[in-house]
Amino acid sequence: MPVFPKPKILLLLAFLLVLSLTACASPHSATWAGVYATEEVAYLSNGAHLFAIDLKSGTERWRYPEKATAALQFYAPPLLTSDGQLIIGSAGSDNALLSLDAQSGQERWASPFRGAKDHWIASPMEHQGVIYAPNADGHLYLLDLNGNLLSEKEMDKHLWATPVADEHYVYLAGLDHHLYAFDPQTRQVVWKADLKGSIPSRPSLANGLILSGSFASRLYAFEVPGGQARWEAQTRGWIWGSPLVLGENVYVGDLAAQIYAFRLNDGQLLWQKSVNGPVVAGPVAFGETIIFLSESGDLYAFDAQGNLRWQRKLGGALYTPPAVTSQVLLVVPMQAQEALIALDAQGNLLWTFTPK
Amino acid sequence: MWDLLIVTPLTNLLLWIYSLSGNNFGLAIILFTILIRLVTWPLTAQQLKGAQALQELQKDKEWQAIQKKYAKDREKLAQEQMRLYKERGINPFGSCLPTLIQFPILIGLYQSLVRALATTPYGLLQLGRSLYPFLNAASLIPLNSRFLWMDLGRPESLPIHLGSFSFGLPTLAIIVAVTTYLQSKLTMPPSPSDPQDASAAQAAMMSQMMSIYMPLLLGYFALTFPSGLSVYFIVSNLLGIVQYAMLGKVNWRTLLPGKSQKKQE
Repeated sequence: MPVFPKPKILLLLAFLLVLSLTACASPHSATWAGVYATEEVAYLSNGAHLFAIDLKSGTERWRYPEKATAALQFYAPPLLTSDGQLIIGSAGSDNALLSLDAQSGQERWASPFRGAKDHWIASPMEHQGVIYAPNADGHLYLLDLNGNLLSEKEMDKHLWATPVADEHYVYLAGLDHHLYAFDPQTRQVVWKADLKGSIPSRPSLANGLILSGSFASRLYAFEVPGGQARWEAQTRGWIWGSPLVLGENVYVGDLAAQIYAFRLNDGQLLWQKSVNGPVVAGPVAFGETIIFLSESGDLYAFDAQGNLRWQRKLGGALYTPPAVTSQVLLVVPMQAQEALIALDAQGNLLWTFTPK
Repeated sequence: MWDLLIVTPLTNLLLWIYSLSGNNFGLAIILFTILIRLVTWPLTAQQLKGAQALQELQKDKEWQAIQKKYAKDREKLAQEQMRLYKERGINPFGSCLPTLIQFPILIGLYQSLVRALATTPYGLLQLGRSLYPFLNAASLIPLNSRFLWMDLGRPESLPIHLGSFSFGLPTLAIIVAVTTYLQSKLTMPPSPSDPQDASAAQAAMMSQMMSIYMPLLLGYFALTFPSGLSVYFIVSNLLGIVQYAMLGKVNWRTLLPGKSQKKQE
């Protein structure tokens, strides 16, 4: 009959609606992978698995879990603790924080910590035998090395950045625009500074300063431990990645495809260059060179004066901060065939890793 | 193209309302839904007009005559029906079109919600790029996704504690299912006066089916998807009932137990 659609057609439309909505992916769908490396092994958090990859051969040593599940999704790089544990948070459905043996990949704790209400974007940090684990639910969880909860501290909103610590405080950045100084003794926030925009990456500590960029397109420097503002510098776009302090300079990139070198002491701009795409990952030092990555898949090696030593184009988009050892630079492309690419100090390819 | 034309504008509209509503995302979704309902008001009115015209046509003697005459020749029946539609100036799909238009809005809204709430770094990067310059993105991000007892970025359940026993009650999913059922029942067209009219009988059957399947389907969505979508469903259902009532099309008696529409005739 032409008057009304047949029930079958309606059911088909309903099915298409379900399919469309589910195809839009869950809120916790893929983001970029994370990597951490020692001189022997690279640990790659690549969605459903954490891979341990031999650094010499580029071959898989182990993976966790053996079988992929929706409950476990890894994107934050793991923390390697002083007693050989890998602590890694899941962005999967059960919000677990796990401990694995760094050698074997076997679970170490009696059971994962499941006290968080949201997923884990940031890697945890170990400080004086305590694990500081920031969660997207806005809480900083403090655990001992056996996975027992010591305490938790609620901040304003989502915590996506790994904390850093000096002998006084633990410093923590939030998407809520604030940089916090947290006293490990009293377990209270001692001071906080408003950076006028979200801070998705770890701040950097050096020479009595703590530095962090924000979505306010500014790089800020505060004195530690007191928290007095030392200087701030304007950038063209949002700063996503962690600033790198090397020698007397601080280096940072922004989403407007600019990279900068500022003088650490007073924030004076030393040089600024354009690159081929937005810079999400913070730069890293690889020997004497400063490595910048851009979303366009380009890799740049600069010296401290801003001279380009080499440039290399890789496939995929580069968002993940690279890992470096004394000999190897590890790059994680997104939307590429390879999950991990190892380069030498001149940017020559050593090996690639593609999960089987 | 879908992203450019649907998801990005909806995301910006949502965030613009959010910025005007004191950074309250729940309130922003409610206001957004009201706005969508107002914008699609002419379509809803057209849908009602089309449905009413079809119902009146079913009572028409000529219509009933061709139903009987060509009961065994479906092709001819269809031709004759089309002729009558043309003669009376009725668009047989006029009542379906507004419903179909809701589909891309629904999918776009879901994608906008997911994008606006940006629960992963990649999602946040995409959100930052989607926002139009007039929105002060740096000050808006991250969105405050808390509304009443809910996190609008996650499926909802209200914690219930009964002594040592506790569980999460999916309150919104239940409210979504109930309001969808109410809307379907209240806006259901009357049953055919002529039981021999096959097309009218099929329409009535379809309405009955929809009043069962749609609450289940939307209830499932509410159970599974971010609760912001459930807020949209509930507000949309309630506004739908209000809108039909304002147009004098709500049939409150269909809610009374044992009152079949046949008896009301």
